[in-house]
Amino acid sequence: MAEAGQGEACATVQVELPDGTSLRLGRRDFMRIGAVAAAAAGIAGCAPEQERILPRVHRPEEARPGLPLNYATACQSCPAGCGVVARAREGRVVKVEGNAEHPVNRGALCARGQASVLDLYDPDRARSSMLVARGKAPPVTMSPEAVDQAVTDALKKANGGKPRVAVLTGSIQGPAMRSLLTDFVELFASARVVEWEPLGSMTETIQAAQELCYGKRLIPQYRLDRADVIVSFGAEFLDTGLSPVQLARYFAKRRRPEDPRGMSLFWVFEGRMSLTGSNADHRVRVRPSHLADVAMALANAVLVERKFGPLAGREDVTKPLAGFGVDAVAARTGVDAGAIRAAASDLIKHASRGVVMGGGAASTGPSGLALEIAVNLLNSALGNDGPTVDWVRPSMQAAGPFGDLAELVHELRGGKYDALIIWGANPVYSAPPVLGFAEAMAHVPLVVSIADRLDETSRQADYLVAAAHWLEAWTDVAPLWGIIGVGQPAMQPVGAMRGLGDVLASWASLLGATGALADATAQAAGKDAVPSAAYHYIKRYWREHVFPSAGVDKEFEEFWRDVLHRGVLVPETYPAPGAPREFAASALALPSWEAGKQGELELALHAPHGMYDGRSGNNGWLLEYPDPVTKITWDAWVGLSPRRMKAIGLIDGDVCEVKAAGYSVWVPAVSIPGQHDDVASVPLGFGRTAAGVVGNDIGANAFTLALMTARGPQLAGQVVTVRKAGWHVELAIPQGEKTIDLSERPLIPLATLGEFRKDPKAGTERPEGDWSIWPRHEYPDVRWGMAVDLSACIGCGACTIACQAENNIPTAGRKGVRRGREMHWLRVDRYHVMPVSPRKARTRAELEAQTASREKAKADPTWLDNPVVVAHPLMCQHCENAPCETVCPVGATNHSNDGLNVQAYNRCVGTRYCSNNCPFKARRFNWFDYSRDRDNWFSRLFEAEMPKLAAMNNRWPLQLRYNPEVTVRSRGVMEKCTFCVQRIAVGRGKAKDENRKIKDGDVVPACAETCPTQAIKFGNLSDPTSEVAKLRASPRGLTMLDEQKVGSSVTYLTKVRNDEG
Amino acid sequence: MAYPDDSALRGLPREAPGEGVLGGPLFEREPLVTGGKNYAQVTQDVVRWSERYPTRKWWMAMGIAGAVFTLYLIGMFGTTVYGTGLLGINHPVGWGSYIINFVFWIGIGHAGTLISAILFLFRQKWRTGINRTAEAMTIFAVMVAGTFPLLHTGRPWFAYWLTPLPNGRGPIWPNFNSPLAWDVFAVSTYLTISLVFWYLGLLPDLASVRDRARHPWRKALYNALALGWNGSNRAWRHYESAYLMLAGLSTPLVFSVHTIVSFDFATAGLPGWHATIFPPYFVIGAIFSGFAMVVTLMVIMRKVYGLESYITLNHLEAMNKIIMFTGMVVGFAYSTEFFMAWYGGNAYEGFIFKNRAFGPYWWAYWIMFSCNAFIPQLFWFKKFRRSIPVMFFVVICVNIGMYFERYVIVVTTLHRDFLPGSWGMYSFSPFDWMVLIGSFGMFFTFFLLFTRVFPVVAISEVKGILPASQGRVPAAKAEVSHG
Repeated sequence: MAEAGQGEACATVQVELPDGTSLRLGRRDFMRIGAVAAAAAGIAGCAPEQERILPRVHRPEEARPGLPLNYATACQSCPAGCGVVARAREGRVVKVEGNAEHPVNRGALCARGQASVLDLYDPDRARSSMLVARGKAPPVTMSPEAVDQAVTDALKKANGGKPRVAVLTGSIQGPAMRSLLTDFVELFASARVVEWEPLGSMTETIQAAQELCYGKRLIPQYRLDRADVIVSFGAEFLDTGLSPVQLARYFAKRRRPEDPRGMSLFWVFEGRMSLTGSNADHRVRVRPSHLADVAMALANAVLVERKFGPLAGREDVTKPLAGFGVDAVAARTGVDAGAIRAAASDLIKHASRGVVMGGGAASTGPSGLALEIAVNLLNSALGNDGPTVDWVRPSMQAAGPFGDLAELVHELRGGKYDALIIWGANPVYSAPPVLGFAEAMAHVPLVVSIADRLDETSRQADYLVAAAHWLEAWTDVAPLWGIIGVGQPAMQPVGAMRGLGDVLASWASLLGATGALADATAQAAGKDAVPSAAYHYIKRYWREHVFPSAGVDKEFEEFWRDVLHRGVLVPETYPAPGAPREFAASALALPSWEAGKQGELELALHAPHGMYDGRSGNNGWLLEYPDPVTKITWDAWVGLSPRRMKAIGLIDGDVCEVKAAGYSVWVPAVSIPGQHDDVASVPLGFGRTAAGVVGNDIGANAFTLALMTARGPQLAGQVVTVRKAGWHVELAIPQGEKTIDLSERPLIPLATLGEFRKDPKAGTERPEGDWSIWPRHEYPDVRWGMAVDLSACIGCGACTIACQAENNIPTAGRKGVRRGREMHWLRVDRYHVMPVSPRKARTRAELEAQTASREKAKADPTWLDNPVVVAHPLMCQHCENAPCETVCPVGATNHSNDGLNVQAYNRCVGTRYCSNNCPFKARRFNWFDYSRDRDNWFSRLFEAEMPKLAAMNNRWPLQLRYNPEVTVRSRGVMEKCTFCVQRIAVGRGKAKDENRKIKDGDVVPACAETCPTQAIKFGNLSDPTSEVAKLRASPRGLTMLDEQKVGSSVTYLTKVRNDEG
Repeated sequence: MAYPDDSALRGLPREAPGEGVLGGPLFEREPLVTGGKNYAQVTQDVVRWSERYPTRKWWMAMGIAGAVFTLYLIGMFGTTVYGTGLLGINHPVGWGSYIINFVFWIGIGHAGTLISAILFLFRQKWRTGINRTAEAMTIFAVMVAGTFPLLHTGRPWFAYWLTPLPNGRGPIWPNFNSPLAWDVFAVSTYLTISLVFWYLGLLPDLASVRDRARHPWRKALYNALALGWNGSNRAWRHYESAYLMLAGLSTPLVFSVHTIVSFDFATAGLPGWHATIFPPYFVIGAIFSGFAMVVTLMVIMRKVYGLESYITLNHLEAMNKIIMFTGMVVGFAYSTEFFMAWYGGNAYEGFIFKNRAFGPYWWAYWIMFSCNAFIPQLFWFKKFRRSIPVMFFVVICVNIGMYFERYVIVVTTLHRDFLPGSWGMYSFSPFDWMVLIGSFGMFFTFFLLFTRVFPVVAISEVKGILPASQGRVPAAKAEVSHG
């Protein structure tokens, strides 16, 4: 306004003040004030301290301060290769979301993907390269140029100028990246590339069995969305196996009881209680080493007993099944024969519309191959192979040609290599110690680790080359057949880190390479070019190899821009599902195996949701992410069945020595209802010793318990002993009680499919509330509301972490969780439902029956052998008559006219009365100043955990992760779910700009956006056409605690379990 | 009949056969002050403690109280500077020791006003021996209590936001729907009225101290404190009507304060809190605990300060009767709560009460129940009512029991409410212990200072109930006063 006044030749300047009044200034006054202001600005400029808001010299041309920039890229937190959209604010990524156009995850993302943002800003990341000298001296920082020079000089000198080089990498899926690596190793006289994934042995078995049965190594895509019946043999596809986000989405598509195609029926045979198993309709407990027997028995039931399908007539197929009669196996393994026959009849009933899956940790044991072959046999026999087991478009996730690490170790020991280059792997931590990888490294003259921190392996290297996070570097991925994605950096690295491609290209040019790699380096050095050699290499590869076969009618540059924009290249047409393949009966010449003796404990290692294989070991969000099955945070555990716990004399938290194959770990025991009595499950990924301040020495490293087999580490089935160690630790479990009696606390709508068919309202009957003396609120335009479909929710908890990332939620630490201080705005409670009828007792006889069954369940908890598990996501319910609002003495929490229960942080004095009065306990209090580093000797006198709290929440550069649209709370104020009010503001603004009413899709909160099963829906309840209003009106809908007259805005839809065969 | 000391008292009217008006037996109440004191002796007995150098015992007591008070200061410093996270509170137990302490100390603060106002209005003359101390106890207890709700907040420096806040943009009002806002008014009103009432009662006695003072500074100080009291008829007339009016004003406050404190719980929606029984139950509980604290203090003080003649066993027995009565009411309230939980048929409420008695905090519940409802039943026996060791044991039990009553109400309700998934446990952190123990240090520091500076017995009122003032002259009157 001032400028406008100057420009025009008017005598006065009108300045509008924010309160609507205005100032009128004469020209002279204006000049006078202007001169003073300019002088004042000059004085401010003399101040010695300058804060740089934009730390980047080269600002991307599209970047506007205050507006987010979205980059489509590819998640590499696990081999599933989900597409993500990284949201960058002011040049820093603050949040990642699933890429809605990506066929793997369709906009969803798991907890680990969400938490990967925190890894970017980890204070313990190596922000520059280092001379490590095998840890003999404190590491010395090196510039990228210096480390490149030092490494290449050493390579040039090695072996008289003919270096023999071994390269050990994690999974590399992208064709361009693979080609780049191939180009690089061609520079050396002899070289070997070994890809190694600590969990690769599971998928190795699937591929090996496919090769034996059908002649081709591949991992089929399991189309659970087409399956009427799913039978899983320890396949933990909703946990971390294969592609959890994709499979969870497929799975949930058929789990809604209204589905016109019918609800799918889910059978699970498994030993440990997994998240997959907790979603089963029928779950049968089988120890991992018995799974092959049971799968063969199922095949026997189908092919021999029921003589179903064309394979039943083939003697070469049925003969090997002779030893696996249903009753014989049932007697041998203690599995109910009736269950096997029932599963067989379900499969036969839905032949060619069923899926049988294997592939969990059980398939890494001695009987694993037999299990996978049995699974293939079943799929072939039932005609599932092709329609639902899609082998035409196989999955490339975790399908790497994993090299033999044992052989590499042998060769390293033999001095076959002069140099070892490691990227994306941490074998000193994650390889079974029997391999002796650390010791083998000592035989190599030059070890260079390209890693993001001084981890267990890098500590024993000569050089650490600081590696970029996948959000900072160029790469490409190919998760499924025909689908290739480009991983583009969404920001400049936080320090002097580089991606693998850039490092290798730089070394190649120093080593005097010619060809594509050298060209890429030269192009990167050009003026005004993208200064990443990997970018040029990938782009060139795409031009030469991908573009011609993509069959698009465009210029390459346009095609490339489109790919970068969408993040993924999806074929225009997909081939039709293939016909069933010929099953090679020769595969049934099974190797022999020894099934474990009944009563003897066997091990089941698993990659937990949070820690996975330990690669994000310093990530506070993941460490504080409650395991979906046990709800444990900040620790590893050994899970035993309640009966086994009692037999050993353990209570939750008693530390045990878990010993297998001569190695022991000491972890607290926890009883897991649903676990097989003979199974001890231990999570992998804990026990890092060089992860960082936050993650060091949390739990114990269970990779030490793994045995080494031909197909990689054996993760399940080996004999294990669990011995009480004699001390006790307090487990950090945020959830209070894990059992719910729905007859006393009718909070969760639960029904079986049969009941639902009879009455769609089944499970939602609740005591009617009285009339209210208060008039209801009016919401003429908008009332925000949410609906959670408990039938679709699998309980993975991705929403919890998405919420944490979006809303700048602090991490409370282990002690914090132990004391009940966790800050998650959205928690997922996991209940075991007591077998008491939730129907309201109307007669005395009904009441007595209810009481009797409750007493029986309490006295004899055998129902916990296979409990009914319900996951219950709980966020602020934004009640219409919110109990929190009336009790706040300063009026800091109020009801907005669009139905939100809003919290004014600035007004809050922190009486915590609102939290006390909240019947859902959805509010969270800032017990400490999580956003300020208050760690000093004095504060440690008061609170010993101050250093950890600082390293988790506020040590530089963690501040960069903050979402600038959400207030960072100070201590002493209450906070809670806002329904992502910042996103509502954006959506409202957008609708206003377009001069229309808000519609579905304008506002999607972080939890709903990331939910792999799309169980959470959000929208306007006042608009009867909105999806969420329809769900609220659904007969399955239940709002909690209506009898308390709170008027919750969140509708829970009945969890329906399929009890129909 | 002479009553040289307590041993002659029996707690019953004295029967003098043949002395009645018509020649029948005369039933005469035992005197409220023994030892045949005259006016001068009364003044001397009370005021001498503030006129001499403190005794060794006082220094020792003060040293201990001061040291314990330091704990309180350190605890409060820590939680104020670093955050309430240092305490044991959590989700779901958002209120812990601070609120328990608050309700406990406010409850203690009830007896003073009850004794000084209600008993005054009911012409219960035996109150004169104890009312000064009881009122002082009230003031200090409310002061201690008042610090807790302020400092339990997450941002205590903004605690003034709980009061209406005039500023340039117009007043910012607190939320009058919230019982916490009512609390602020109720407690501050109570403190103000109690303070004024207490101080008003002190005026004649301060003047007595002034009149006896020799040191000019001392004289000047007490002169200022006595507000120029001259003992004139006019002064007395004004004084007595003001005293009566204030007694009338404070009487409803006895009920209102703890009623409103109980609203903090009763107006919340939680099972175990949301009950209409809370106001009477809290008021009675407060009187119960207040009297227990008065007896605790009196038993010690009458011994240490040689006030057995003024605070006789009859006084103590009278208070013990009140303790027994209120204890039974409290026990009845506990049972009624259970009955209502069952009769109401609300599953959540039924669970809460089952959980109180048999859940993880059963020990707290049964400490509460036995200390408050069972142990005071000892007072059915006159022998126990008049036995110093027994009554000391009982009142200590009641103090403990009433602390646990608040612990049970606050903790067991919060720790398991509607959703099993949000349940949790609560335990004290070192800071909770420091502040709890330290609050006693704070209270006793103030109390010990009070006994040094002010007359601990209301001299003028005691003089008013001496037999000489009652129009009948006992045998002791013949003795010559040396005052």
